[in-house]
Amino acid sequence: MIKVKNLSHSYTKDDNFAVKNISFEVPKGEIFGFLGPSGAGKSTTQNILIKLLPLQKGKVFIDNENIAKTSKELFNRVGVSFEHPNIYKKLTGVENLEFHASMYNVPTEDPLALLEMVGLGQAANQRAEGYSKGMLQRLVFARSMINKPRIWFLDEPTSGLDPGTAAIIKEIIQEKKRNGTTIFLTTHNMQIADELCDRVAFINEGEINLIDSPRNLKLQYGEKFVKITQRDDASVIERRFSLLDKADKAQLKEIIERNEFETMHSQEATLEEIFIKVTGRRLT
Amino acid sequence: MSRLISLVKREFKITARNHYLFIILSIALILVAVIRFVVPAEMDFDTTLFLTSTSEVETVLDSTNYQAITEDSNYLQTREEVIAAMLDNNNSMGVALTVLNDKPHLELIIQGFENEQVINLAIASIQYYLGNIPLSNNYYINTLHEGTSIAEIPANLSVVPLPIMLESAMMGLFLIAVMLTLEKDHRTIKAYVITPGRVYELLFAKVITMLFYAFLSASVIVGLTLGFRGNWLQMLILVGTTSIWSSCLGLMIANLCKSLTSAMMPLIIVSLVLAAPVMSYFAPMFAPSYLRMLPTYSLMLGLREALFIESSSTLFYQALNYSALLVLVFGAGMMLSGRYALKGS
Repeated sequence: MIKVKNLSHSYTKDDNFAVKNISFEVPKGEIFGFLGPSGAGKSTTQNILIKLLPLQKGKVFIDNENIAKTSKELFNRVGVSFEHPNIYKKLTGVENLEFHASMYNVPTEDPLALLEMVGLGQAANQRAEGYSKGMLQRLVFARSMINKPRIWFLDEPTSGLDPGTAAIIKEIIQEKKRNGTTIFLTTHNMQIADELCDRVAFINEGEINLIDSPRNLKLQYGEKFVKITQRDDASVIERRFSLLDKADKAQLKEIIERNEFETMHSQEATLEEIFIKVTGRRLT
Repeated sequence: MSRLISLVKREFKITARNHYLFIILSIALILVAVIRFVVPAEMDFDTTLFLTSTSEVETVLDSTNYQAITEDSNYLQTREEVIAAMLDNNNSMGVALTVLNDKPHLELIIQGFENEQVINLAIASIQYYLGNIPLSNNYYINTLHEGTSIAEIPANLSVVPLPIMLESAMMGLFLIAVMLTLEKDHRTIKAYVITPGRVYELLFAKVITMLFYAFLSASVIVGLTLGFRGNWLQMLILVGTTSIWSSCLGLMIANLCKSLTSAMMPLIIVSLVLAAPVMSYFAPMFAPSYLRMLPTYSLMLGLREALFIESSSTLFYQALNYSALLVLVFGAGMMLSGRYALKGS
């Protein structure tokens, strides 16, 4: 599990905080989405949690260990998938994983099996300098699983991947969650957060605005709509009707009875729309 | 320990695939070619000659020659004054003339750095100066700095310590700094520091790799120029300790710089400073205290002694002590800077 209490961080070591007094808990086996636009404090928070930044104020417990007091052995239980493909390009895919496996004092995964899992089996013995951006991303993702982490930090894990590969990655994440891995997912992609996360936190300007499950957020902040398309001579018109507004409902009923539509879809508010509603900012 | 071995293996793979081995061997072979075919086997440098004589010398010399000697601007009253003047001027020799068996007797006082050709030339010049009159049978050579003579070494081979010094000090400094700053630029350091691997293990692996390359380079240069001449063990010890401290210095600079670009300026400045003692090798008279304080100065003399003067180890131990001290100082600096700088890279 991950426990963060009253965490603050200032790069300038004054009152100009990049992260302001945030607190949250992620129980074992949960996928926790940490959502926010660039500069909101996502990376700062994650970097403190994985000890890339010093802990200035507050308390952080990773897998029940206070990171202010713990040794580097903690990293035997932690995996981190970075957004930036920071791998040794002169080494092959399998050499990269073998090297990282040798850094841990715990049983590790078979590098070739991991590469197969993320679709890099064929390129295992190819130097990473010849990999595409998507392949590098998958290699970084595979590397983060090498030590069978109990706590797994994922930073934009599907960034730059085609839909088919992204689906494989999402399935692996779900599988790890089912096996009890605690997952901290940092992203500004609301769709992936919606699909994967048990709970999400909205962070904006260094502060957490709310924490809840995507479903609860939609129920609490979302407004149900129906979207229809109609043909008007040569053009297609798209219209939205709120199911909470009486006038909209009456107008929709009339359209249905007259069969004056081509397509009809129910629409819930997206996490992005809720984020904008709560924080007043867009994610990208 | 197994982690350190993995790190060293990784360094070798990466450096080999970045053609470091090819570059290092190429440089070593170029230096060998320069020593063998470009540097002349004989070199002549202007040397100041300090003179003194006893009053009896006047009786065995032509008065014109005697007058020429005593009126020479480098003529001094006593032998002690000659030695004092020589100690102030490394690029000088001394001559003390006395009389033996009714013939001028020559005592040549040398610094100890001079080769055979320079000594012979000096004796011939003095003989000419004295009007080519026969000297007493045995002239006497007195050496100021015992154990520093490399009289029998041809000039081109006598420069071998220089490329070894430059390779072990500069290669460690530059290449290792490039290795680390590239890791920072590619952010692979981040991936390392979130493993149980320690920063010191990462740094040690790089130092060990550079040590290997320094030994390889020095062995190629010495092997292809001097063969098995000299004390290889002493030479390799000096190369090894120098490679370690220069690697630590390079890593210290790389730790404190954010990128390769920002590391270049301090690296170039440090390299120029470390290379400065080369001037003293060719012109011993130019050895001001600030040059003698540099570690590469004592290393240069230590390597020369190790390779050419088997009878003495004074300069070797001086260089070794200095290098060992720097290993401790720069090693500690590397550890401290690495501990605080690499975490957030």
